[in-house]
Amino acid sequence: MQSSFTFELDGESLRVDGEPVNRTLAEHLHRRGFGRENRFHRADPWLGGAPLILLDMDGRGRPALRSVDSALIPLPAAAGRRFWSAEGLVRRAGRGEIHPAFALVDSHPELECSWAGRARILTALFEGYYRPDLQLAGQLNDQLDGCLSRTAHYGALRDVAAELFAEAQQRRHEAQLSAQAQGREDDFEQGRVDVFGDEFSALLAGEMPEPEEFSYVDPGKRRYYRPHTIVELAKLLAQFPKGIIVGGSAGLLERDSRDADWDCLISTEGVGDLRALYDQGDRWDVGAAAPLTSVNEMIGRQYPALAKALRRFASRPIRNRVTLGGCLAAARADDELAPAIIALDAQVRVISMDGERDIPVARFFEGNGRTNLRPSEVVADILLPRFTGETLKARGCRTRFADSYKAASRREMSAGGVSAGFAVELDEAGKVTQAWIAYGGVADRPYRARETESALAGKPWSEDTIFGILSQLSREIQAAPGAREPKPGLTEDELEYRRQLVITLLQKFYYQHPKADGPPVELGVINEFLRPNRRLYQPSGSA
Amino acid sequence: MDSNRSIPTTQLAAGFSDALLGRGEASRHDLVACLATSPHAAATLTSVRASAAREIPGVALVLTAEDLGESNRFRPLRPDEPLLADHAVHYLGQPVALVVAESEESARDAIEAIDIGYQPSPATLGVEHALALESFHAEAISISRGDPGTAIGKAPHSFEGSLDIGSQLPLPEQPLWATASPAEDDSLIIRTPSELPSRVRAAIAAAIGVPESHIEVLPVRLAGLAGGRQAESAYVATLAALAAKRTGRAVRLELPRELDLALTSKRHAMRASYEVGYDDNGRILGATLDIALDGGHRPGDSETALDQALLHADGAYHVPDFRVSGRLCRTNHLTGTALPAEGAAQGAMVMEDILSRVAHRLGMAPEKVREINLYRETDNRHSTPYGQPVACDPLQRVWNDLLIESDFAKRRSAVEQANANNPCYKRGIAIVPAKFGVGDPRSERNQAMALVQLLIDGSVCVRLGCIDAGDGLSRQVAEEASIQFGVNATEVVVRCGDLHCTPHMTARIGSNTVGLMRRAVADASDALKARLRPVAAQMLAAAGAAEVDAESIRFADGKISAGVHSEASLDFGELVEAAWRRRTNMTAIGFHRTPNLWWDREVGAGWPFSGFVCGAAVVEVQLDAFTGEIQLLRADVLHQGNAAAGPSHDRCQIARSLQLGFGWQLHEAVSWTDEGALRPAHTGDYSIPGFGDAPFQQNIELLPAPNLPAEFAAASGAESAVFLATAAREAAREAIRAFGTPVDPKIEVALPAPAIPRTVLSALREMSAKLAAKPES
Repeated sequence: MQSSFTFELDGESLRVDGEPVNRTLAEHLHRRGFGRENRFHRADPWLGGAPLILLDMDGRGRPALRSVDSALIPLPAAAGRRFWSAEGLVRRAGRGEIHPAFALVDSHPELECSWAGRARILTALFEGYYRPDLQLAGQLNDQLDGCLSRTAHYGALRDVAAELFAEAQQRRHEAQLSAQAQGREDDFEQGRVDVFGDEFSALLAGEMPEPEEFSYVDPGKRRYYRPHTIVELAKLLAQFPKGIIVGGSAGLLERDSRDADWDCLISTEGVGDLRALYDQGDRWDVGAAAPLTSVNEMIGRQYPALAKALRRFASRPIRNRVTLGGCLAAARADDELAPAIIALDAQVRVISMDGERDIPVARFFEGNGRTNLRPSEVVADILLPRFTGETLKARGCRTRFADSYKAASRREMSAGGVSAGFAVELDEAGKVTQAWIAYGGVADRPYRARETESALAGKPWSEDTIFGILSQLSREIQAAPGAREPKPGLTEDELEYRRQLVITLLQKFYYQHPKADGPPVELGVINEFLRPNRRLYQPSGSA
Repeated sequence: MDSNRSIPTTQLAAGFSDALLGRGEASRHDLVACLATSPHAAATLTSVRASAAREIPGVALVLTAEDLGESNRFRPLRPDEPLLADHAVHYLGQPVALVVAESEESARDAIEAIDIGYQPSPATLGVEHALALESFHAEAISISRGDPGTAIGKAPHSFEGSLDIGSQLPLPEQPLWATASPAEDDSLIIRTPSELPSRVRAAIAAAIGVPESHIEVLPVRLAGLAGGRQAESAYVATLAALAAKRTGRAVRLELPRELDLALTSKRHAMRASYEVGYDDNGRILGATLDIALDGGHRPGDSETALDQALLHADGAYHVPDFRVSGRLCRTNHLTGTALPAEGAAQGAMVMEDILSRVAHRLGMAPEKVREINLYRETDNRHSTPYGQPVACDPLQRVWNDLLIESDFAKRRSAVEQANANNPCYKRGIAIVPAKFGVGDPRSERNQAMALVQLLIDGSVCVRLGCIDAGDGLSRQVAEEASIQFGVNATEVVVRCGDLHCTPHMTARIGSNTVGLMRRAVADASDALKARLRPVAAQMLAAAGAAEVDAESIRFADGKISAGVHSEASLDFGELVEAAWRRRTNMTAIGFHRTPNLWWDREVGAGWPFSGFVCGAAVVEVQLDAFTGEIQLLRADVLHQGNAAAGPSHDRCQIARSLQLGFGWQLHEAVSWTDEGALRPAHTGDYSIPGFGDAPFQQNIELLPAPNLPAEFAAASGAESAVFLATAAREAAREAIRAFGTPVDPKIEVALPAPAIPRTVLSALREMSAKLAAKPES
């Protein structure tokens, strides 16, 4: 076990010696005098910690630069990692190395806002600049939704960001053309071509170093383990049944780390197998430790209902850290992703030294914060079935459609409301063979309305059918465990609103999918105003 | 001038290096202060026993009301309020004791060890409750004209109504903190984020009984300008200063976020009830408005908020017979504070509510009813009820131009058509005008001070008597100085909030600081240029120019020349250096005050503003009837502004304020539990608008107003935009009505502010119930 380690910030190696395990990177940086203006070094849902850029691994195992919230990183998790900060970008500019993201922010007075706000904007723009997939206007939200600020001018930010990302895509396009000319098309596709000719894109074009096992003990005998194989992980769990498993550490947002009783942290983020997504033909095995961003990049297109839930989940720097396995294991009553996962008929694969077992996701939850994970068990994968013509036919149905919903007082960064995931399978006659109706935020756990689902079976998919089951649905949800207090301190009005949403969200699902086929019906005019499919950069000569 | 000079161009870099300076900044060796606060909203203190806490190792000091004795007064801001609760507590979170210790752990142990006895008493929890109990701070004040009672009685139509407007949290990014360090000469050095450091200094001097001159308050850049950093900063800094004085050591007091939420003042919640009489055309003949603001446990700054509410209760409309009266409710909440457009925005919202309802009752388009009631030059409809006239042409022009530029008529019919075909989602569009007073009814707030120094190389240093909030003020002032001296803006450095240079400060919110500061800088620049001109005349003459008249000398493009016809010119740096060699004073204090302001709140009459700025907003929204979520589709704003100087700044200010307003109108719900605790308890439960909530399309245009004095610039426009966000709520109301109008074209919808999804859905349900109860006609 090590009692010290180093990490890299803005090219400088920083040594950590004797610091407690139960401290976040944000707190540590603050104590080092970093970002003095941001006194808010403790986790806060509104501001978080100092935003940083982390050299991380994407779902394919390729290097990626991700913006992260340093308040979501336990200090030992920083060991051996490389970070860059907004302050570092400013300092670089002072030395004459002006990064395009910095240049843009600096030349637009309309982006002026508080330092903390500008740091979030800078890191968000920086990350977006290196993102190969950031090509459409509709993706700007995904990249910039962490820029929450009282003073930032969002409209100007949207325009400026579009300009920067268009410039980046143009250079990417040029790099592609020259790669083609050199016969290096495959390298380009795999991200092995240095697009921008700067030190960051050189890192992206290179290879990620193999992760190494790491463990750390602090003077208070608190331990941190970062194994890199599943076997090591399982051994540690057997050895320390009370060890706390940390993935993306979203839980840090809600607990003040000073009070946390962290005797032993076991991190999953070094386990390559748990960070990857595997295509198994008839299903996807989503590694429990894969950050949500990687999940969306790899399988978002195949599971639009999941992609939609991810789009409104927290913010980019949080999605870059938080993992699907971590969310499910935390089993929050109002978890926003669980309903969508339930609607996708997923299973949770848990492992221990005794072997593995698969649990249907809805049965995995046993109450707020409680799952049927046994001591020494850990979530390894989330198994998402692939729904193809053949697999459906084998089950006697013709089509399947799913969607997810959320109601909140703002678009992103709004946890604790009501979310829903629905899916329906229909037979050749257009009758429901099976339905999935799941909610977050209405009971003491992500809740599946099985009675209503059964009542739907055999009925035609029609407005009358839906209206016919609404009162049963409402009764079933109100009888669910914890339905009277899904969250402490709700007023009667707020409870009533939640009860209403149970009904109206299912109605919305029907109106968006009145027919058995095709994409969801766009009910409003948002696309008309937002034009999400507009390309940020249009290569000249192409239509 | 050397154009290759390497200039620290960036505000970003400036912000960063400021942050690194860290003078008076806390260090690890400081004592840590913590507060023991009341868990009750209203209670009598039966005992405060701190002896056990004093015994805890590492505890340096425990202060209670008893220890402070006579000095336990929050003078001069709220002289009747104790710094630490003495006999009773009046709001939940009110500090009762202060602990100072070597470490946070010891301080928290000591807090635990303080034995405070409370005898809880019934609390007044909000405006409605206070109205029922008739719990008020002072007598009502009013503004009236004519005989509204009779006018309403004689009017063809009349009705009564009410409107509830919610509070808003300023939510500054940094929780409240202060550090106090004793210096060698018995003085104290203070750092705290404050919008008004001069008040911090005054409060500390009063509390520890030393002259103000012995207190040094260092400037701290504010993270944004959303309020909540006036009295509370002074309060926290005073406690830190008392602790530093008594222990002789540096003390740091940093509030945890929950306590920061409790101890940071909020926007005043308001209830208005009204009675209004109108004719068939929708013209308002008479109106009486009764306004009640949540005045908290002490009036504090709330009197100004009430004044502003009354002074803006007419909105942009002329009502011949009009009376508005207002009261401050005494509640068991922390006293309210100034957010941008405080009071004024709440007051002006009432008329908008009235006019929408009049339109709906008559089955008319709301914009027609608004238009017919606007202030206008003709028909003697141009004077406010308190006697100050409105320049109506800009108001009419803003209104008419925006209707055209936003394509209002066409879009409104498009919305109606789309609504007819969409059973699930409805859109709404609304236009709202604003007429906002420039300045603060407290005349002492309408002054500004700036120190301008010319350095020998020709660069310019400006020090302002106000705080920078990262909102563009420094850039705008730099621009003013660069115009004055004809130098590049990058040659100008603006420093803010240094009490050594500018001992009196101008508040950032409520006052039109940008405009005032520009005028103060112009004043100082005039003085400096007057000193430079004779030197320049001599130098130009020596350089061979013929007769040079000192008065005709121009400062432009970095050059000094003797008028348009002269070829000869000087470099600005060259001139300043020469002037310095000739022993010319290169430093000047500039000062500006807005002349001829008066406001008699007892009589309800006056000339409280230097004038009015006008603007209007068109907002289109989409309502999701399944969730009650309102999505802003497009916002168009046309506002008077100083288009000649820094239009982009003005536009940004307007955009920022609009965003603050959208949050207040659509997202940010503040309430209190039955025990008097603030909801949200955590920042995570409080939804300021995020990136995805901004309107998809936003057009902010300035109405060129070449004759507008500089003091009408940005800040005033910015604050009125908070109110213009009302257009979003009115548009949401139109969208809700769209579900009912096919059945009853005159259906009314009451919609409180903020219109959060839950409120919207319940308004929708209420309307459906009303329609269902109605017999088929």
